[in-house]
Amino acid sequence: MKKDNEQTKKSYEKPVVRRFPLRPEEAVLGFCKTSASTGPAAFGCRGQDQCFTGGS
Amino acid sequence: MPRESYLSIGGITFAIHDPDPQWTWDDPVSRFLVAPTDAEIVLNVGRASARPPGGSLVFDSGAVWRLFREEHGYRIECRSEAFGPDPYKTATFNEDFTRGTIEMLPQLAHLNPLEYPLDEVLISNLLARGRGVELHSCGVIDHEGRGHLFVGVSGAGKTTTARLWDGRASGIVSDDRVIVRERDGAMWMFGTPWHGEAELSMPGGAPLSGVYLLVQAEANELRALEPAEAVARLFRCTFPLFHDAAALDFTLSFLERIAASVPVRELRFTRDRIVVDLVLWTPQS
Repeated sequence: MKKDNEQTKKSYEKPVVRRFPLRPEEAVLGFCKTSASTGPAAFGCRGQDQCFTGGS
Repeated sequence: MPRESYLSIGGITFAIHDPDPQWTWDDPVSRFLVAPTDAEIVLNVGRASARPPGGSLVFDSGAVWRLFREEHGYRIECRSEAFGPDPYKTATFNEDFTRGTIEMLPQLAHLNPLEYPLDEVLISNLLARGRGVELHSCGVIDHEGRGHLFVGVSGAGKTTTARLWDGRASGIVSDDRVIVRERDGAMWMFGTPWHGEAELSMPGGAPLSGVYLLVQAEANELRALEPAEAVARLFRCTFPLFHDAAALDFTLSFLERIAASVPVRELRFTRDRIVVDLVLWTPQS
């Protein structure tokens, strides 16, 4: 019985660290996808109309 | 004349009271208006008042908004070069963001006070307090009522996916932002007003059947993911509250629950409509 358990036991795999980089402009709300858009919602906007372009 | 409006986004209901509304609800947010209800979140709208700056800066988005901690809650200030150094909009909230007041500059009284990004920042704070998660994703409901969630960063193919499903879906809840919440022990996906290039956005939702991390490739293929990899790659497509350890904890644990509830796979696809069949014909368990 003990032998069966040993046979079915998974071999040890050393943990591997994998990096999944975040993109600040995507992970943080408020950046605008359309650089040409106007409105107060977009960073650096100079227009005065409402912007409907959601950011990333 | 005062106005009370009610919104439901991702199953979270909002009441918005404005004593002197000079703005209207525009599409697509107007699609999320609902009949008067006992709202979970109550917001009052007013005009900007002389408010002494207070509280401590908690998070600077680097974009238009900054979050401050106040004695009994939080304050979000939105600034734009277009309107000078003072905030064009200031929103104050209680500790759990369920009650708030939004003050606009008088010359901006014609703008929706919940205009992006405040609406989505608020939702992010509400979701991260035990309610669910918003993912950078495209949500498709098939003709059997099953929800398929295609997750990816900008350029991964969310809008392309939405177009590939044209005619094969009973609805696309958003081509860019989808909320996932637990309902009666099952994961559900919900539409949001925040859409992508295809401008697809609708209220409502569907039980989640599968999650697919999008990768553009030379051939169509579905690859199972280990839970740890699935959670890490999903986290990359959330909007985390970096300043709040408890919120980050919740978000990660919620992603784990998603990965334990439904298959999370990598979908390598060729921008060919045959990928729709691959998704529909693959067993969901």
